[in-house]
Amino acid sequence: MIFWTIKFPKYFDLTNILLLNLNTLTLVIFTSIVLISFSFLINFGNRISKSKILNYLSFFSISGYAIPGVILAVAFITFFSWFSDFFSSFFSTTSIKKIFIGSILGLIMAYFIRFYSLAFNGIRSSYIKINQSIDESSYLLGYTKFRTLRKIHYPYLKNSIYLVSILIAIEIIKELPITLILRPFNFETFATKAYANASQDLLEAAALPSLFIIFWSALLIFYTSKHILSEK
Amino acid sequence: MSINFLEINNATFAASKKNKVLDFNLTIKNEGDIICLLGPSGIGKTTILRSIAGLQNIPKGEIHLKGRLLSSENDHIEPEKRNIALSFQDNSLFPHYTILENINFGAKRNRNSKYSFEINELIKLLHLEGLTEKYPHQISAGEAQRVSLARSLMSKPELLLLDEPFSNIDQSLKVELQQNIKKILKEKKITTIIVTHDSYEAFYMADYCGILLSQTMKQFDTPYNIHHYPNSIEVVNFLNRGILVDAKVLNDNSVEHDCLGIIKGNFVKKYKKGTSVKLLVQPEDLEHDDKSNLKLEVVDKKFRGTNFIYILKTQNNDLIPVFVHSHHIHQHEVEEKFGVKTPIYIDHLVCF
Repeated sequence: MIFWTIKFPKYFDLTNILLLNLNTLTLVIFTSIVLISFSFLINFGNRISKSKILNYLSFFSISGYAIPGVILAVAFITFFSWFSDFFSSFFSTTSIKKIFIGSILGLIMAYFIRFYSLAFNGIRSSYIKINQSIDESSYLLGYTKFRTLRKIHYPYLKNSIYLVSILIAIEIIKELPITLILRPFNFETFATKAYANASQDLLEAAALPSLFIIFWSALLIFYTSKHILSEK
Repeated sequence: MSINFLEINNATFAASKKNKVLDFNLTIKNEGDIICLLGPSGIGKTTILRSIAGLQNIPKGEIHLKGRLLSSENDHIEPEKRNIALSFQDNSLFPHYTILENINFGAKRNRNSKYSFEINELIKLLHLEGLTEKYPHQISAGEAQRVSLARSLMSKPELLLLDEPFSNIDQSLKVELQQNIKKILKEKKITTIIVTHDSYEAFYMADYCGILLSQTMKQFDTPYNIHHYPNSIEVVNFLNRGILVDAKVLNDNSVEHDCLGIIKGNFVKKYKKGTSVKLLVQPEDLEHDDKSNLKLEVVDKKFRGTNFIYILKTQNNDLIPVFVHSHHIHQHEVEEKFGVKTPIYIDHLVCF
């Protein structure tokens, strides 16, 4: 791929590359923030409340990872089309499906459903390592539940939060079907660009976006092994 | 009427459906008293502490601290608002903070407390020097227990709860720590409830002891009275220091045993003449005398360092323990005869 990139410099367009980087990173950053904060809070809620409903709900919600991206994207479109029609039959507003379908928000929501289990379980597996009596000690020393979250849970889970964000980032960078179906018009990421070029047999043009997928993934993995996994 | 420091009325403490402590009453009148709860493992002692601390609800009864209702069937004040510290039996130190940070974790609480500690003073007292920069996974269980104790003390609680505080600490250090802890608790007037299954520890530390047996508090009294005036056969069996032998009441100050003969003393309760009773004979009640005519067979001999406990068998197969000073030169082997000084005098006759 490096060879192709060098051999066919006419496909190298700096503005386009920067735009692709910007698009992909925007998606990665927003989705990670939403996913991580949500799964962290749900895990915390599960821990402090003994509500069984919350427990069942959180376990139901992690099933998204089992659904193939295409099916999820189609289901997403079908649901919001129906919802939008249902909504406009009550309130005579313009169609709300534009908010969700073909928008960054919709894309982030679909990623959320797809990768929620990754984030939730990643944080959960570290969370259950914190003994319940550690929380209790913190309460007994006068710390409220939220201060315990801030002073005890967060510092303890910091590394696994980084690790999970990196995994999510890698997944999103290379996620194709959902992005392809739900993206806004003319919104390209490395994955969609590489796919579009490759499907037109323009393998030379597909090389650079593919290289960037590898570059970003490798960078993140390198960072993980260097700074997070090596910590004692 | 002055308000009791802590009052627990008719409370039920439930660890699980089967494991419960029922109708529990406890009153601590004075601030600074040390209470020990003694009982076999699994009786629910820890559950009582957890409920007082607010980590568990109580299905029945009330808990008041300085007149403030903490827990009842319908009310529950969160643990962080109770100002009660509980030092757990197992290691519950914060794994990502150093020992020093752990100890200091609750220090900011209760700035208006009547007492306070210098952190260095506590570190010295609990022998934690050299550990302060380490992390919890780098120290031993006994050290972790001491750190946990220091952390609880630093938070300056109104009521301190200790769950088996010396269980992982080696014998030599244990004695010194017990002295140190008792001294500071008394100096600073910190009201404390200690849960333990070691009766010596309880007798040394406590102003009052509570004996928990078969889901209820069997006896609550001073350590001296618990040992010398146990109020039920269960308490005697639990403390396991003496045995109960069959005897007959002769008059106001003596009983007769088939083999030991007449035993004099003061009755704790009054009995009619001729009543058959079970008399408590503790190891320190009988005295060794080689010249005595009353000779019993030695069936076992336990060396306890400072003393021997000889187990003597009577003709009617009672096994009676007797203390003998360990420097006593004339030692008796198993199956030999052992003289017991007569007439036997027991200061207080405890009968059931």
